[in-house]
Amino acid sequence: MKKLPFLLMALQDLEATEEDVKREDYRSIFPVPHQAIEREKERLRDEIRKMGGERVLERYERLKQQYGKSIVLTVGGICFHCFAVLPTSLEASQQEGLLECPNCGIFLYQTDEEEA
Amino acid sequence: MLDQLLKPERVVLDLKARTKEDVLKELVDVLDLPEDKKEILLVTLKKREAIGSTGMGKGIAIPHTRSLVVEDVHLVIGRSREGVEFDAIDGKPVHLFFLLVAPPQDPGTTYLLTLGRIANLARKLARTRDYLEIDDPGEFVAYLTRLEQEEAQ
Repeated sequence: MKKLPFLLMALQDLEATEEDVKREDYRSIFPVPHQAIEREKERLRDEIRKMGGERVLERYERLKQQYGKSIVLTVGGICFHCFAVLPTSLEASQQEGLLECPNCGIFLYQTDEEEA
Repeated sequence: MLDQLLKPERVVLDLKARTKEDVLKELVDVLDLPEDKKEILLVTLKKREAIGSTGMGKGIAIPHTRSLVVEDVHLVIGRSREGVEFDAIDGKPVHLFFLLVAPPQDPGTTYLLTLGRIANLARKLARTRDYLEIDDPGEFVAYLTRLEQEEAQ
């Protein structure tokens, strides 16, 4: 399991849910307390920190401010954020197989499909 | 609207799972995704459940999330005649599950509209137990489509 990218994606997905939870139409079905989301996000951040990912988290926040997202999938050997063609020998520049786009710098997740 | 997402091949009428986590896994397994994407989806769904159960009570749950690993909105339905403990708000076992997943960006807001429609359908289903009697996925889809249309009238 590529744990660090998994955790970053889970954090980003949770932040997308956080936006839904602010909407009245969502809250009328599932009235989730804001603190519950914050608590889960902090748990995820703690897991990332425990893996030595403090700097990864800082970079995650910077990318989110810059692009509105921090991690994307690679699709057909292309960064799905800036659409740059990625080198075939893209190597993990961080621990746990975390990849970065050499063009835009966003974190990348290469699925098993892509690696096959 | 739900009829576009309701597909017999995405209906599991006899869930084998007996725990909350296994139900999520069994529902995710129905999606045509590589294993690592399924694993990510499962992590995210569990995180969503951790902020509050999607078990709405009366035997129905709508586990849902947005996730980077899907490109479209997907709906999977699971039924357990025995029922599964799912931390539902009424504390009772859940018999019917609607798994809804969507990409993070959803310009047509299909996801939230769909969630609302499923919630309406769930309120109607909560007044009956007919859904426990159907044995064919195609019939099940037809039953839900009919109920949804009645709901819309």
